[in-house]
Amino acid sequence: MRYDQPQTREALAAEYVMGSLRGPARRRFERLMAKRADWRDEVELWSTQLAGLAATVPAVEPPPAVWQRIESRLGGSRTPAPVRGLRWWKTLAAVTSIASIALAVALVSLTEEPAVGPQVSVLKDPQARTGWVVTYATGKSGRPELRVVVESAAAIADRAFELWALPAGAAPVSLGLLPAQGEAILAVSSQARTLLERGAGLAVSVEPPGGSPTGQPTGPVVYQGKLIAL
Amino acid sequence: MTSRTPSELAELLARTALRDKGAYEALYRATAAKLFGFALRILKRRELAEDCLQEAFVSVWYRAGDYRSDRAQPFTWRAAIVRNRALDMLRASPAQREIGVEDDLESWQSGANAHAPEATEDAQALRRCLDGLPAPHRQAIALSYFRGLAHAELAQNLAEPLGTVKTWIRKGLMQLKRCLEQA
Repeated sequence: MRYDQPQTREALAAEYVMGSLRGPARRRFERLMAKRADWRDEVELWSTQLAGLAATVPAVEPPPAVWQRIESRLGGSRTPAPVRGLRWWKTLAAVTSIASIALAVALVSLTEEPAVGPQVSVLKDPQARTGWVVTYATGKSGRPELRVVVESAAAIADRAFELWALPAGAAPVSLGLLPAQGEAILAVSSQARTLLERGAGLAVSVEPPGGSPTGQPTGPVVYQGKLIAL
Repeated sequence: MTSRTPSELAELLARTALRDKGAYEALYRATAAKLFGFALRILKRRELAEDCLQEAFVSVWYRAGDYRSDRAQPFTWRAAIVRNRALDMLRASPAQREIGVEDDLESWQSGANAHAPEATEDAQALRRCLDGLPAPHRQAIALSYFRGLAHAELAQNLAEPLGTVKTWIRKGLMQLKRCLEQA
């Protein structure tokens, strides 16, 4: 497979967005996409083009109950929930120009350019070296899972790497141990699922073999990343 | 359903990211019907489509900060969220995935769509380009897009060889892309 040929990139990106790319081929594609901006751009392009198909479908008014359920899911209150680093930009929100709003949003958000689809994170150390690539998507079982592929994480003797989800303003939640070599699939609890779908950050800490004995990180955080919706 | 331009929707999304509940509700009022129709097209059953719409909008609330106006139209971005969720739901219930009469291609290209509030130039260009495809290519793409069927499943459902179906989709998509590039 000649991954540098534009035709290959086009064809695979189109199939990926369509959903007809499956199994190992899909995983290979997701890894490539995590590493290369031109592949992410191609996915974005196809997503945009194909989403036009969505617009051809006639509108159907949903029942009022749907909005009520959405509101109650989000707490129903009108006071904004605290968002990391947002406080001093709230005054900016009072200015109505979209440029300043976009700036505020850009500064608040930790993400890179998103595409659309399942989510991918590249876990990097402070020197921007990639340790693992994590993909969060629905597995064959129909349940969400985290697929983790080692990129260049060096094993530390007598130590394990543990992956954590970082919810805003709450304690980290363990997602499981990361492999030192090859690939692994981590099951996702429903608590973790909620956090990941709400855009929680990811971090990797160094732990004793078998993971943290306390349920919270006990060792240093060595890699970090954020899941980006593709 | 109120009608909004793409830049108005982008502003509503940006305000949603800053936790403006009023903007979020305005976003819902402007676009929920279009997205609900889309979810219904994929899932067929109303209860499933309602769940899907609800989950998608909750997701939009939390991920509004990820949206970049230079990368995609607001509707496109959210339609993709709806579709991904709908296809996840479809994969979890195989019985829903059979091709039915409603999947007849011509029915979803009916003239009613020509008056859709979000029939932008892009949407019109897409329809022209779709019309330019051979019917089997168009059908295969539609089934793949709206039902999330993999090549093998398509081949089985259409009673065509796997190679034929793959060719229809690949050639159809490439032709579509070239046509849209010229639009």
